[in-house]
Amino acid sequence: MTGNELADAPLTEEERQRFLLRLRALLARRAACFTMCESTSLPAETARELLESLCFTLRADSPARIRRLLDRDLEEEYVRGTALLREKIRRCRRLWETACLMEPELGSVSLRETLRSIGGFFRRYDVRYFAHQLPAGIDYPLCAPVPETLAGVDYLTEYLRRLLAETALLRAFDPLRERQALAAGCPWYRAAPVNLCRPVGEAAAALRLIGADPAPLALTADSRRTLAERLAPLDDPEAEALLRRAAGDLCRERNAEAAAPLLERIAAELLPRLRAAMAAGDLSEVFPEVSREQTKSGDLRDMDTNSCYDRGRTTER
Amino acid sequence: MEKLSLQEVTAPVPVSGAALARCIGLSDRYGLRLTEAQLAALWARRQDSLRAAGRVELGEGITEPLLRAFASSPFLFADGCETTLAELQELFYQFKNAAEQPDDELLTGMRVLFDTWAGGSAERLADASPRRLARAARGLTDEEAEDDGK
Repeated sequence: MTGNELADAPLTEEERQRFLLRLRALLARRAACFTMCESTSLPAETARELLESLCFTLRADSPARIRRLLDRDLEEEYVRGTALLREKIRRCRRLWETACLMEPELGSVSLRETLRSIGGFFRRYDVRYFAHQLPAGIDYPLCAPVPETLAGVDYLTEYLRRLLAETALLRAFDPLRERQALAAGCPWYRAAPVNLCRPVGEAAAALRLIGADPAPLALTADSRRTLAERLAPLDDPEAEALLRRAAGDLCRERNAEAAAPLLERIAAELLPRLRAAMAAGDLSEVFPEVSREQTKSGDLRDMDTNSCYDRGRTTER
Repeated sequence: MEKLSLQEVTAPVPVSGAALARCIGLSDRYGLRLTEAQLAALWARRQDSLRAAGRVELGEGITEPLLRAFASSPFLFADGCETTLAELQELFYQFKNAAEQPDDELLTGMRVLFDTWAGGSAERLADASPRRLARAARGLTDEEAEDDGK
């Protein structure tokens, strides 16, 4: 076995028992702090949460990491882990501030409420006892969901990173055109918790693929026919490569390189739906007809003019 | 890697010899004459009481503080005191669930009511409300507690 394989090998019973013993001692100290030394026992549910928080802070999630922890003072590792989490919170807050300032002008209630709720996270997050928890309501669905293996501030940081990539893509196009494209696919997109980026990215990538101007974000009957003709003779790997290339080129052309991996993914994920629609002989299910009358900028009058960032700051005072 | 379960981390550990010795000394001082085996059984029953109450304990637990609180009770006799102590221990965790009072405050309240209102009956003590326990812990008389309960 190589050094890496040895480090990742399952823990031996002796290693496991040694770690459990030390973890128990640390958990007992954390529980005593939590109860302010006023109680020798605590509800099992609370103890489970404290344990999860401890494991999250220590990053005790792999045999290799636990082996490293066995050689170190667990209390010191816990203090170091907490300091690291505090630094992560600071970075996460900066991401949230950026996300609020860059919020697309599309009037999505779920996105606005999500950003507002994240503002409260920084007050509610308890890094000492419940570091693995996410005290925020996240309703806005991303194109690529954050893996459930992440927790606490790690989950939120990844969520905001992905959200900023989506924002970078949305900022590459005219908001009015985006609202029209979104309303064509989902007329209640502002009120419903739907992703804003996918329909825009799909339309833009498809238009770029057929060599048309992506700016209108609308495929006419002719564009849909051309797209079907371009993809029909290709097998799936070739078609996917073509879609990915179109997405990459589009991001470069519109100075949205940060969104390139995301758009390439959106374009690749579009292929099965395109194939199904092509088999049915109608691409309008994927790219519905966009009405230029649907959404004018004035329709946003119901939007609150305060940004989430401003609201978050006001609440915190 | 599988998550470490709470059961694994909080698996019962045998009671230390030092704690046993302290408890034996305490019980002898008040004439309860608890043996090492009786005390060990009391510690072991703690696990059942904790499980029944849905609680966990990470240290040596409440057994020693409980004995310290009740050893001088005029209703506790050498004959059968281990059964009463086990019942009180079980009650303690149930009371903890009902109201998260600090341990020493709850033990004080339990002891006061056990000696007065409950007349030395753990069964009667089980009917005590969290409010009555809290008042007893604060040193209010039984009559006041009775008035409060009406």
